[in-house]
Order: sequence, then structure tokens, then C-alpha cells
Amino acid sequence: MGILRLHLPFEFLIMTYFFFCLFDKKKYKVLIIVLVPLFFILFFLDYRVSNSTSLYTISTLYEFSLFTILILIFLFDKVKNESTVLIYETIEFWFCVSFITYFSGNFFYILLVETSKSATSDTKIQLTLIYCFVTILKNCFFSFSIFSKKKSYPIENLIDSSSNTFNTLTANNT
Amino acid sequence: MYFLQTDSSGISRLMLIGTFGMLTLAVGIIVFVIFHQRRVIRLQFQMKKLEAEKQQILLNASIRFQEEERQRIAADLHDDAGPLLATARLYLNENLVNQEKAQQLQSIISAKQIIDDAIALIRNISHSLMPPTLKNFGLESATTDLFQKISGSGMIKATARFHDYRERLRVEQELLVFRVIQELVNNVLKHSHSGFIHLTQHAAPNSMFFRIHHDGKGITQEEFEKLNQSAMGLGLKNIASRMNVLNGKISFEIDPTQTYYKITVEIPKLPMI
Repeated sequence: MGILRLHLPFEFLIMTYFFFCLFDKKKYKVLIIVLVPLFFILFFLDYRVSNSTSLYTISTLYEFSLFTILILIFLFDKVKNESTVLIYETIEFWFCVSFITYFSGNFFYILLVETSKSATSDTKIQLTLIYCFVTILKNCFFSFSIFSKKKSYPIENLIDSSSNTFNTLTANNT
Repeated sequence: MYFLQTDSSGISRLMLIGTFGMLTLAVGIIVFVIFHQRRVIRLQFQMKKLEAEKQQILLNASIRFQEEERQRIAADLHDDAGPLLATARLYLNENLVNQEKAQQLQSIISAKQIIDDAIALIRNISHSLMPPTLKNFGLESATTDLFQKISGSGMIKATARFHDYRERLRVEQELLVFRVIQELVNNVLKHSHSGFIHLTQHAAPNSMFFRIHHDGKGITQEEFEKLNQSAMGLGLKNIASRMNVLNGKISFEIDPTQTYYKITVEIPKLPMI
């Protein structure tokens, strides 16, 4: 019987709540709510099957895949929306970048972690190095998000200031 | 999963390739999103800019039209009403009392005739500004009246038929629609050299349709858009700005048989206040 890794559902719930708040559209919120129970089913199966020293691979991979897909949905949704704010100047974007880097970078690490138990110490060091590199990258993006300032570009400022279209319009109106 | 059952170097290579691949994919998507959004924003700005320019052209056209209208009214009053009243004043000068009775009567009759002419002239100017039929009896009567007058001139056969106008448009909408029809008819008379002009009206649940057919030389939607963007075509710009106010649509088409042109005006029905 494996030890109960409580941090995994805890982490999953926090992340789920973050994404739940991130999306504005109701359909995505419903999608998140629908997909949460599946994680707990997989987590329970992992708990039943895994031994004390093993990681809960299936539920972790499910978590990684789900959040990666949610991030992709979020990014494409942002692109579709009519906004005057550049996406890379928002905090949410850099959060998403750090998560997608972490999830995609560690996907193979989680996938191969059980197989690598029998590997040589050199290989284990290499795997740890890759894991550390991805984690540092994620933290860098996190730090970057703190410094990002949201700027909006009022349309009238960007409409060819030389032609003064808006000024002319205002003058004509008055 | 066969590919996972591999030796140490195999695991290391697999993980390296896998992680690199996944990271590249993630970076690729992020870069795509950033550049695509920049492009979308740039396109939005360009569209807004074009829209603003179009609005400015329409605004300038309507100001120019107003000025021309004022000049026309000023000219009518100055050149026609002014001399008429001045002549009447001449007949009714101070020497009138010293004249013989018969001459006095003749002067008064002449002055009265001139004043009547001035009244008729002012009435005409006033009617051209706001047709009384439109004000008193609505769009259907005013349009039919307009077409009858055109037909009565004998230059062109003009007919107007309203199929379903039980549910009338709002008064301010009627005035704008009438001006649009007037302008369109005016254009047909001026430029098309057509033998007939026919107007029909139809109603749909949420909108009202007015269609003008004529067999002369007309314009297509493409030409209308082009003229609207250029400095020419003041009347067309006025139509466009009125359609903007009405929130309606106008389309210029040529019949597939290439024998006649049709202009369709669609006006949304608004609830009566």
C-alpha cells in the first residue's frame, strides 16, 4: 500500500481554483468542474496500485496534461478576444508561461521516473539536472510576472497621430 | 509501453529529446500567441482608423451639403424674393397718394400680384425644405406625390407602390427615408437617362424595404463604395450618412439580364414612441 501523497490533490485543487478564476467564459468553468472528479478517480486508483516508494504517475500526468490544455485554451481565447492590451504585458500570461514550461518540461520526467529507478547514478543526475533546469526556468518566469505592468493603448493614440483624424472630427463636431 | 522499457542511456536520451521537444512546442505556441495577438491588435487599429476616416468623409460631406443648402436658400431669397418685394415697394411708394385714383388702383393691383408671387416663392422654398405632404400625411403620400410630379413633367415615367405600409416608420425615420429616396431619384433623373423609374415598398417583421428600379445607367455597390471614399459624389455621401443615422443598409445592383438597375434600402423598424 503506497503512502498517501496529500500534496498532489492539494496542489491540484489550488491550481484548479486558479484556472477557474482565470477563465471568464462559463463553458470553460463548467469544463474544469467536470474534469476535477476524474483526477480524484485516478488518484484513488494510483493510491490502490502504487507501492510506498512510487510516485502517483497516472494522476500526476493527468494533472499536467489537463493544465497544459487549459493554458492553451486560455492563450488562444486571449488571442481571439478584441483587446488593446498586449498579452505579454499581463501577469496571467507570465503565470501561464511558467506553468506551461514546468508542465511540458517535466512531463517526460514524470513519465520515466519509475523506469529510471533501475538506471545508473549518472543517468539519475542527468534527469535531476533537467528537472532542476525546468524548475528554475519556471521560477524565472514567475519572477518576471511580478515585474510585468499592464499597459493599455487607447485606440485614438495609435491611430496615425499625423493625420489627426480625431482632432478634426472633434473640431467639426464643435 | 514498450518504449519505456529501455536501458540507462536510452532513458537519458529519451528524456532529453522528450523534454526538449515539449519545451520547444511550448515556446513555439507562446511565440505564436504573442505575434498573432500583435497582428490582431494592429489590424484592429487599422480598421478603427479606416472607420474614423470614413466617418470624417461623411461628416465633411454632410457639412458641405448643409452649406450648399444654405447657399441655395440664400440665393433663392436674395435673387427671387428680394427683387419681387423691392418692386412691390416701388409700386407702393410715397407718390402713390398724389396719383390719380385709376393709377392708384393699378399700382395696388400690381403690388398685390407681386406680393402673391413672393408668397408663392417663399412657400416653394419652404416646401422644398420640408414637404407638407410628408409632415401631414406621411411617407407614402409624400413619395407618391413626388413620383406623380416627376411623371407629370412628361420626361420620365415614374411610379411608386407601397405594398404594406400599415405599420408606419417613426416620423424622424420617415423624413430621412424620404430624403434618401429624393436623393436617389434626383440622381437617376440627373445621370441615368432612363425611361422609367419605379419604387416599391415591402415590409418584413423587423424591417422595411424600399426598392427603386430604373432602366438607365446606374451604379453597382462597388462603384458606390468607391465614390463614397472619394472626394466626388456629395449626394451619395449624404445618402450614406443618412443610412448611418437610420442604421439601415443600401445596396446597388444590376439585374442579371443587365437591363435595369435596382437600389434596395433596408430600414429597421423601431417601436413607436
